[in-house]
Amino acid sequence: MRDPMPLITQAHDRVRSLYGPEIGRSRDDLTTPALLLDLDALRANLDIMAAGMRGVPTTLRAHVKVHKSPHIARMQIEHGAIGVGCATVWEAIVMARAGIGDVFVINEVVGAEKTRALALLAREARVKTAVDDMVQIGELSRAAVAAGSSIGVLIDVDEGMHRCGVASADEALVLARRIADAPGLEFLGLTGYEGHCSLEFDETKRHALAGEAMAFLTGVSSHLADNGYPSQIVSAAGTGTWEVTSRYPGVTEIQPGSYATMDGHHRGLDPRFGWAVTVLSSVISRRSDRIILDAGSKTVGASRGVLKDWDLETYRFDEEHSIFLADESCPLATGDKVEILCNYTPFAIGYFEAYHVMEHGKTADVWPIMPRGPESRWLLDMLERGE
Amino acid sequence: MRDPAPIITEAHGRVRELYGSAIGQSKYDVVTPALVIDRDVLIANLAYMQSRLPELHARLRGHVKNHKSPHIARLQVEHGAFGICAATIWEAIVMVRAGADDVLISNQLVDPHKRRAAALLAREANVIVNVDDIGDAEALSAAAVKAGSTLGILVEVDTGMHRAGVDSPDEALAVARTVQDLPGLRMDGLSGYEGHCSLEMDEEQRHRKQELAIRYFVDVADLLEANGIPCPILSAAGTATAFWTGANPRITELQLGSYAAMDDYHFLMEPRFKKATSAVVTVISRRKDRIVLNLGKKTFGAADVGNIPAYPRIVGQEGLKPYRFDEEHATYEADASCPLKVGDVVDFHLGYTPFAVNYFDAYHVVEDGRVVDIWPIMPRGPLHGGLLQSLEAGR
Repeated sequence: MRDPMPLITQAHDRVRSLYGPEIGRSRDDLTTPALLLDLDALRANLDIMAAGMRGVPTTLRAHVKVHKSPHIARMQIEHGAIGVGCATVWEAIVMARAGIGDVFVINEVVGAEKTRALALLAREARVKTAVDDMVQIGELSRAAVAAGSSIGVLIDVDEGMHRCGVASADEALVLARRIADAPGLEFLGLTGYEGHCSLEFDETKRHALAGEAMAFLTGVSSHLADNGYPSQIVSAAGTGTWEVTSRYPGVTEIQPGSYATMDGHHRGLDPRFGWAVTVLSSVISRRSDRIILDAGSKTVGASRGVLKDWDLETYRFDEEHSIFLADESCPLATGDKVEILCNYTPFAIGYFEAYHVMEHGKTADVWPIMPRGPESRWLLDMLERGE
Repeated sequence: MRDPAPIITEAHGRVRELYGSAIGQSKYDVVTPALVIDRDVLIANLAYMQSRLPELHARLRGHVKNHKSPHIARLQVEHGAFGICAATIWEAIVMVRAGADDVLISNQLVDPHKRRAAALLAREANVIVNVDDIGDAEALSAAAVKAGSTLGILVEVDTGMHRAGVDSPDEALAVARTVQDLPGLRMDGLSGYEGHCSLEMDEEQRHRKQELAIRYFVDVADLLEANGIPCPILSAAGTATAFWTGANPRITELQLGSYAAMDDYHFLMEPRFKKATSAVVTVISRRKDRIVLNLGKKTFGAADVGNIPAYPRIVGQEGLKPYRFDEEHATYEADASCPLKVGDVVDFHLGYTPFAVNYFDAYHVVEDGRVVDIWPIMPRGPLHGGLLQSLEAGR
């Protein structure tokens, strides 16, 4: 892995200058809300995944949309991941600059600026993306030719999630032919995310659903191979299905991400992975029947959460506050710190600009969250300038 | 109003550097998803509110938590707001740096670093804070004494929302007496946001709840005044109750914010204010029975506010039924009669805009469909962003 480039080291320096005075402080002395990353728990999760992938015929591609951290992405590579998966082209630029040579935008990239960014990035890293439509193939091809680069293309297959993706093998074949003929593009294979399985908490049913999804995906792959378009890559899976999908014949790589930082939703699917990210919050008001915290749905996001170490019922999540029922038997008082276990951590991470990295109960470092927010056109401008 | 300080003008310069190449373009040519504010609609909302102020007893304190924009805050002040209301100390610092000289943090601070920041900020502006706890009041007093400043205090009263706030008139009296006796604090009155009324879509029911809440609130003020504690400030109201609460002769100020930038949620209750905030988004996948957009719950947040039909919608295609909102995608049911296809860029209403605002770093400011400026969103996210250090350093 190459060293991180200035884009990354400068961002790290910037958050260290903003939050550096908090390094060395214990949890209870931090200004809240804060996003805590438990380094030991993170390492344990990465170890579990590395052990689970040993001797398996597939490789691990770590999805980064969950954590948006160049630091965590590098640790995932050090723990056996062959590359990263991204949701946006902006994440791909950041991860390439973090030193990762294989980046796959597992999403449809539409719009001239974004295809241009992807094509420019393909000059310096092995760049892949997903398509499900002729329009995208034409745009990507034109951008790659203009940039003098080559973009790897995988066909997105809808395995039952009903989001993006082609719904039939014939539709996939039409696209494969078009990709193979398009200058600047290399047909690499298929990608499918069986995300609907991650909404099924019964393990037996979930594994059966994942099996059906993989049968469909590998069936599409066989159909393409029979017609002269063999897939080098057949990519699938999330944290809810990584184990069964990684062992499914015909699949070549898995693309989970939540296993590293985890959250309540994914703990319900695979409790072997532990909580590595929590939101630290303060009790700012103590009423006779409830406590009010300084972190609400603007901080933990759409899916809310529960308290670590305190079994309290949620009363309400407001924008800036969360409220939990707590009678006088609960000793929490104004000023006390509690950690919120988010049901779905990516929402919280999307709001913060940095992690407080905790080791042995103290803040060991502050890590930037990059890219932040949905819009990062400036990353394209940076590529255009050749920086 | 004072001119904006360098941290504001530099932030404006920074987002213009990052996104300024869009200035002069059609909003449909910017990189999506982008957050858009229609300047004409915004100004019309502000002007309407201003036109109603003469008939109201209370003055207007413009809340900023929903837009987080120094530019919009200044426009609120130019359109009749005498001061600013904030949810966090970090918002308060930004808005004072933007030129506001009177700011209420209608929330409890509690954290020692936040109390310190409020005490420092009070050296240069009138800073008022909500309190519902004697221990918190004592710590605020110590912070103000140490900084050599005076903090205004409003005792927060729970008027029915059941969040923070004292539970009874007697408790209000006890906290107010403590505040009155503490050095560095100035007992200014009461704060009592009737936010539970904004969850009531039925106008008659909402009005009934508002009356009960404000009657109780005024009763608490009467008790304090009867006990020799004057309450020169009685602060309450949100966008859904502003004209009722503002007409009450005892209420001195209103702390509403959504009226400026608006969203689908508030529009259901107060359609006299129009939706000034939206997004432009791209159709990234077209299936025979659905379309997929390139934004999801990571961008527009909780789409199920109180189970009220204020979910995000495509402008001009409001009839399309959401199939599912994922993290990075919004999928709508759309059969062949829907003309949208891959690559189309469409206007999108965000449901409840504060979540989206919290996620972006800038607004694309649009007039007649063209981008005329880029405005920074400040402060962004839940962290302090070094604002305490900049106060300590006198910046």
